[in-house]
Amino acid sequence: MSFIQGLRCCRPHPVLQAVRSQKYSVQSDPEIVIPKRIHRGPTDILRALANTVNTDYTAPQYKYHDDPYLIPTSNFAKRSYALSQESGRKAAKWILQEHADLFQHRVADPPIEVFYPKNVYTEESEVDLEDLKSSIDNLEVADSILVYNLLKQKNVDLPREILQDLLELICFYNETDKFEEQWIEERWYKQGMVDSGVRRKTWKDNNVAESIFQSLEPADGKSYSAIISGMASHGQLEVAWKYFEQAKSQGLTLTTDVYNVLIRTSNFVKENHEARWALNVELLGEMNANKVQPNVGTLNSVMESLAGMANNPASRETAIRIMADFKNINIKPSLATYYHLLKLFCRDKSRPNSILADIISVLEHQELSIEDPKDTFFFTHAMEICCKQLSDLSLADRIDGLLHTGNNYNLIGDSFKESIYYRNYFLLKCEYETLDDFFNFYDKLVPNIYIPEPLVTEVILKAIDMNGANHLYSKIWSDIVLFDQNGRERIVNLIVESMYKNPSDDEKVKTEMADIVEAIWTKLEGQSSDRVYRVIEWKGSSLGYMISVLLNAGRFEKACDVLQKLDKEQQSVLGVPDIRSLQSFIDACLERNDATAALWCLQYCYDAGFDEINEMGLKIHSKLELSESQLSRLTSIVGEDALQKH
Amino acid sequence: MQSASLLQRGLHTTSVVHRIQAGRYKRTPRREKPLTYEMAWPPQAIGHFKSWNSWNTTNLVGGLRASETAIEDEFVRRFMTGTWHNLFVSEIIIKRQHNMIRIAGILRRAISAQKMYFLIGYTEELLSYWLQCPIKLELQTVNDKKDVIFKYV
Repeated sequence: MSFIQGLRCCRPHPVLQAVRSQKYSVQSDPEIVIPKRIHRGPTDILRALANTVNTDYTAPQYKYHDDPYLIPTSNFAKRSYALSQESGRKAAKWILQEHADLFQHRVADPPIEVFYPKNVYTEESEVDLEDLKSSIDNLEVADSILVYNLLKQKNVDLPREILQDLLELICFYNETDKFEEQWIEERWYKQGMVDSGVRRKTWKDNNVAESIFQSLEPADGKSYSAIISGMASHGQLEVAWKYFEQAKSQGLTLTTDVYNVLIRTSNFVKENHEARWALNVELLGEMNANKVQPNVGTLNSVMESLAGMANNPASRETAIRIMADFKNINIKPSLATYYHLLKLFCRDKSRPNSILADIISVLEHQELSIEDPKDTFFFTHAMEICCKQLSDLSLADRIDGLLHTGNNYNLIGDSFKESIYYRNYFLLKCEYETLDDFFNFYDKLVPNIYIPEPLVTEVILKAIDMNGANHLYSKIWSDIVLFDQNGRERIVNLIVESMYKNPSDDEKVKTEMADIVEAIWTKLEGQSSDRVYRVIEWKGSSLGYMISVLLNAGRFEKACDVLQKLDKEQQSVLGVPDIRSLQSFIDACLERNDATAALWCLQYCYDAGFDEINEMGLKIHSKLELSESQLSRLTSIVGEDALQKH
Repeated sequence: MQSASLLQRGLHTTSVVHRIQAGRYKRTPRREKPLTYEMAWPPQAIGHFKSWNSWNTTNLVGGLRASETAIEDEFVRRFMTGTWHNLFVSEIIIKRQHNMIRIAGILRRAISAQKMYFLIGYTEELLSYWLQCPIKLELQTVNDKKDVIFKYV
């Protein structure tokens, strides 16, 4: 003990000294401010954790299994794998429904309805009001109609609210069952909603909705609203307008949705632009008079109607005025509004318009949510304009940045729109970025997020060709094979020609290029003759390029095979090769002292009708030791005179 | 006297002769029986050199549904071997976390990837109807049965 004390006296420990010298200030600030509790949702911590993880571009999408065999490598595989899985799920669902009696156990607590078989109603079912209520709540259109009819047969008195709900349900879905939300992939790959101006009439006249509407005597504003919006959105405009006039004459107040759908479809009611716009103004005026509060749907409807009149220059000024008006009443435009604006302002390439840049400046860094079904059209259309009209790379990057802010990617729509979006983005990048930068970008997105379509591959090949970046051929070729595009004539011809035009001195690159040619050769040879679809025609020029590339890598035998093809199958080969390819073949023969091959090539040149055979013959004559028979053959090809001249 | 006989009965006086057979594989004369890694280790190696086939908390203190879980796991195993007929080359591992069941295993690449995706969707969906909780498959594939052979006995 004394030893330790002594030690402490002579050399105090630095940490101990620091602790001892510290002054504890306990009562310096007596008021402790307890922060207000922040209410957290059950998944908030998961979200916070998810925010710490960045996108892994090297991994396949989560819907695919992370296993080499199960990772899709082409657009076709992506589609078929995802849909196969969904098809399996559908099969299971079918079994559940078919053997509903076996799945009556209830294990989960609280019970989870989606795991139980659905109630099936038939004509003999005993139903009551609750059944109708629950099928309306579950949005089961066909079931609700069936139950409604059964209840009517039993003369059950139905309360007005339920009938109103049923009317709204049937009008919204137009008597057809809704598309199940659980089939995600099918929705993703279905050729989604098309923004077509022409609308067919799909409303079924004298359907259940109309009879329910008749039974709601006297009809009030709500029931009129339901039937009018149902009819107008499903193409029955004539009757919708009749009901609208009726409702007006009775002095009923209709909902905003009715006005929205009537404005949206005004282009099908009136012939010319003035009349259409007058109708819109009239409807808006009525909304104002009846104190119906407009919403973002109203704005979008007006814009859609204006976009339908885009070739009228006056509609642009009107659109700007309308935007300002709606801004004054604090209605925030949604993406669909901007989509209609783009359609209105960016109509042709000759008059580029800066409106897209302005829109992006407004939206940048915002987290958007869907408010209108047509919100999903915005990103694709914006990128298309950016690529085809503005050719503005920095703007495209900003659009992409906006798309990747928060959960905005949900607004991309479906697979078709996504691929158009990326196609345009890639084309723009390929055209305006340096090849190195472009390939950095390419490596990031391909193949897990986007797989280039053949058209995009062609553009990339042309870019490589222009830059003379011959080290990239093997990379792009392996991708072409992976994406199953190596059977496409244009791509194959393009890469062969481009390799011929960009010869390399590097041994490694030479070998790579020759390997590609051999792979193409094998592929072409392997295609069966009875195939009708997507057969590659042999082209003389491409075969010539192949010979040159092969000779460049010193593969003389393979080049002989190609020449054999040219020589033996002159009927099936289109056109003749470039004379320079054949000259290089003869040069290679001279190097190898192979007179037979040289004469054979010369004979082919003669058959193909090239003028250069004389000088080629001279070259062979002067550089090679020819035997008697070879000399006579040479003479027979080029003639005495040509050899004598020298 | 009585205590002496009890003592005697409690004492083994002969060498141990009973055979333990479960979870062990008999050697063949030519050493040609293939074993996977899992099979190669005897049961007492669980937790040391190999792991459990069912992962759950039912047998901990306060664990729920021990017997139900065991039966469900057996059901899942039979369902999997039947649905993925002749495809599994490993044991089927069943992992439970919260209300989620993850089923893992190694498959042969005997059917196309597309068909595998169909079966994945089918299995996940049907089992979740039966067990009434989300089911996930975590599959890996090997080219050949021989790829999972650890040794021959």
